Amino acid sequence: MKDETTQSIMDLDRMVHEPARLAILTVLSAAEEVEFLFLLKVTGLSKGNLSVQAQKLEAIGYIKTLKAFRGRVPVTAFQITAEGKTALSKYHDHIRSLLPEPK
Amino acid sequence: MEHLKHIEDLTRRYANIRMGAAGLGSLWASILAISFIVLLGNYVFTEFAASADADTSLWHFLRSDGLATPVWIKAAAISVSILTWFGITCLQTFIDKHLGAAIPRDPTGKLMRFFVPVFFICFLLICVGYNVGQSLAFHDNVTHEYYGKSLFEIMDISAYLGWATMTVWAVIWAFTTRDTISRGLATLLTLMFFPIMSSTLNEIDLIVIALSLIGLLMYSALGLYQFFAFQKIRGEINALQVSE
Repeated sequence: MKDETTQSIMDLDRMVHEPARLAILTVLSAAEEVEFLFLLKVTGLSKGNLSVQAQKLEAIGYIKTLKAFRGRVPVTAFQITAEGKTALSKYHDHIRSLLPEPK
Repeated sequence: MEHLKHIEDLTRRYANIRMGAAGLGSLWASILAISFIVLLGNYVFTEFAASADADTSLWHFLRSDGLATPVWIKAAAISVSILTWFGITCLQTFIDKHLGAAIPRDPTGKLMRFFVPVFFICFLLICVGYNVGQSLAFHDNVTHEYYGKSLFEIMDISAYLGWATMTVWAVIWAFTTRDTISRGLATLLTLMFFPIMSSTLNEIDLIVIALSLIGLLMYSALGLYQFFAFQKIRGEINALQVSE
């Protein structure tokens, strides 16, 4: 039993499990598209960290980066992909199954 | 987990509240439209006082003779729509520069993107068709003053130009924005001022304006609600940054 639980914990999607990436995916799952600045303010991550984590999520296909211009200023926005939504949903189910029943 | 729930909820609320420049767009549109209505009312009442008999009511005056629509009224009506768009764009840019944008999940948004332009083009065609029909009816009437004139002479070109401008503007506005409230305002303002573009001001114009005004007041109420909700969300975002 113990081995099964340990294995189950080990099977958690590490890409989603990391707190910064989990926060990014959670925010993106609540909207169609979110700009870098809003993500920065809501997650409280540093610019560098947010960029790195977003790149990792994009590399695995969980999010999509959109580049546009507001006037002459370049604006970066992110969108969660169908794979990202599925991964987040699976992660939630997985975590719930690991947590003890509330007394 | 609670924190994640909070930021998810915050994002969802912000994405919805941010639309239409966080309510300021609706308020700006209302100020402009009401200013225009005051201007129009002043013109109508002045003309009525100058030309009508003491026995004639304003309603009867407009119904029987109609009142020539001056070009400046048409230009002002078109300007309201353009200035509203300009104001919303500036306010939205200001908000997005400070907080960033979040676009809500709106399945109707993509549909509306196509529905609004199609609606306006159909509406324009109906209005033009009706007007041309009316002109032709006058043209066939030998006792009418238009008898003997070409259709081109009968048609009020400024009305068609006004309609075309308003339609093109509304289509561009509806197609380029992803904001349901902006689209709604564009539709309302266009419908409100469309009849004014015709050559005469009639009682039907007053009815259309009165009905549109009700819609505009509803948008203003929504705008106020949005603005206060936006202020609350802004406070929550600032609190998040302080706590982190």
